[in-house]
Amino acid sequence: MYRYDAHDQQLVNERVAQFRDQVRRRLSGEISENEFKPLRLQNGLYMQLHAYMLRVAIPYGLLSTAQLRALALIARRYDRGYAHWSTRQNVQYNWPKLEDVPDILAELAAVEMHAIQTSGNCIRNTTADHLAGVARDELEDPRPYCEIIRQWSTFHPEFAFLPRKFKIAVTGSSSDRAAVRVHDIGLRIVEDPDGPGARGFEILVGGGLGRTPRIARRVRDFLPRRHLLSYLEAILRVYNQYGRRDNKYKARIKILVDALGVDEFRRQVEEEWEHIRDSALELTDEELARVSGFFASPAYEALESSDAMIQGWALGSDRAFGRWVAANTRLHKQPGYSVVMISCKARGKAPGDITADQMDGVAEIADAHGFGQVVVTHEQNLVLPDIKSSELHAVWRKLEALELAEPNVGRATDIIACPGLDYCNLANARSIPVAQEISESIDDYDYLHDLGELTLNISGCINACGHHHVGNIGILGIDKQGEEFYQLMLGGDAGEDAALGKIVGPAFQRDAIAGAVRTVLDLYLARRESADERFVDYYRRVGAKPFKELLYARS
Amino acid sequence: MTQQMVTGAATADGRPIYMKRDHTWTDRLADGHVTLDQDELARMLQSARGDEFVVCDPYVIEVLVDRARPQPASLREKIRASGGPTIAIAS
Repeated sequence: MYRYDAHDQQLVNERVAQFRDQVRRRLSGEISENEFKPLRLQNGLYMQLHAYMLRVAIPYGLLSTAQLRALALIARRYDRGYAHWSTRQNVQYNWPKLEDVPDILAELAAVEMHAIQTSGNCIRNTTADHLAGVARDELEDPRPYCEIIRQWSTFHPEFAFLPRKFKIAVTGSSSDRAAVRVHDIGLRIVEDPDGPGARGFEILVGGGLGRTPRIARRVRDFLPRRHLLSYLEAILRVYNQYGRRDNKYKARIKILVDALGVDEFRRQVEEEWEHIRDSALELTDEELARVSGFFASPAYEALESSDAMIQGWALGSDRAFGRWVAANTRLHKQPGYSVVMISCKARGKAPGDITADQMDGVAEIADAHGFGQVVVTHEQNLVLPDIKSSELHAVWRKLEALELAEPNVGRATDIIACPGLDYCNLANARSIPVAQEISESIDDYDYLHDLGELTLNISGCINACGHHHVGNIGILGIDKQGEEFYQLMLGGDAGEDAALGKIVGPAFQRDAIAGAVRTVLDLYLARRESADERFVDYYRRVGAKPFKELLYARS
Repeated sequence: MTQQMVTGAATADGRPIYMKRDHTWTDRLADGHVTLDQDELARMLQSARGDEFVVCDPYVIEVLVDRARPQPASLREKIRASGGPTIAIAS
């Protein structure tokens, strides 16, 4: 993984010292909250319902075990013993005291981490496929490009005050696990159609969720990779100049693309790009090789394929282990190795929360059985990317002891949920209790696994941090005259066939939403053509009508 | 008319605090000053805004008073006043 050089470390250390002085001045009364607020936000420090919240950047979700242990230490020493994985591969602490935040940032700097650009109208953490570097369907590892984008965008003076926040995601695989079509810019690594072996990017712009959800529009079929930064800069320049600043709800780049139309937007970007395409922004082969060197594959042992063994376990007589293998492991590019998905969605727990002890335990497993790396997913889970398949049973046992072996990754109870009204200042309704109630209502693992691949996403307000628009089943909490209600959406998809869910009918009361979800699941199970027809495929085939008839016939 | 009080987030740690009759602050909503008097409320809010080294972003909330005990009218303020989320935190 990438290691800081002297410049990176100095930059982060200086920021810690700067913020320490700003906090001192705030607490001593030298500066007001109005003066302090933009400064704290530039360091990821929000004010939430009960306390400050600190969001820490995890570039493209990748952590060393030293970093994970530091996150555990911070949770234990400065917070309430736990942390929360966000839906953009970052980590959030819900209870820091203001006077402790400079010390927390110093702890982070000591392990090459920070909270810079995790808030504000700037380029945020670039996210990536959580199986980057190990996926079988990967054309090229996206992480070197993410790191190059991170270095280009960190403290970029021209883009420090954009019209609104800006999010970039990159994937190098045919399966889109990075949700690139619902980002401000989505990058797909593709082969050059005119030059076999040469690689570049498909450029998607103007995707996003929130109050105006949009699937990104294709701005370029192919961009040679040497032009990556100049083309990104051209897009950002057009957005920075013409994006709306008079209305924060119409300030994202998706609104600009809507207003101009994708053809005119493309024309303006290409025109801007002509001025800078052959500038110092060119990504040379030498620089790409230098950065790629940080992401070289670890020293795998030469092993026989374990695919048949894994399939045998998944269908074997040890049903507890078999269920876990089936749901929580993925085939690895390297023969004899597996990818382990760690569910942070134990039944009845808050989705994405993890205790300090669990973080330390995962770090121990990654050191003992892997190569000392852990990945955070935007679905609020963790990945152990390089586990020998022969050691899967031992890893499963250790995860069980940590209460991190819920066999539900990619299943209906692997619920993405924002913090909602339990923590968030912006929320209208609670998300976590709804997620808990749904997961507790699906108490039969055979039923859960029979449902198969299914995403269920919950947001507590229209800002859509829980990505409800792109859940196969999406739930949006709303406030109706002081009462929590929940809209139910069906048919969303964050993957390569990205789609926005459609509201199925009138919102449900708080005590009815879990039952409505169960009705939807039961109907799908009863009427699908076969177990191979996924929920989203069934919905695409039959539409909302049968669901609507059953859901509202009862009310 | 609904009664009202002034609240905000403590500068030190962001916890919810409530203004008392003497314009100092308390962690307990029940000890906050409740009023129907809009002029008094305006004076409280002005005082709170001048006290920003103790409190951030003060604002007015509606409360329902039952047997001399104020209760927040909205779910959001009920959750704030409860001191934490409505779910068990990870442990």
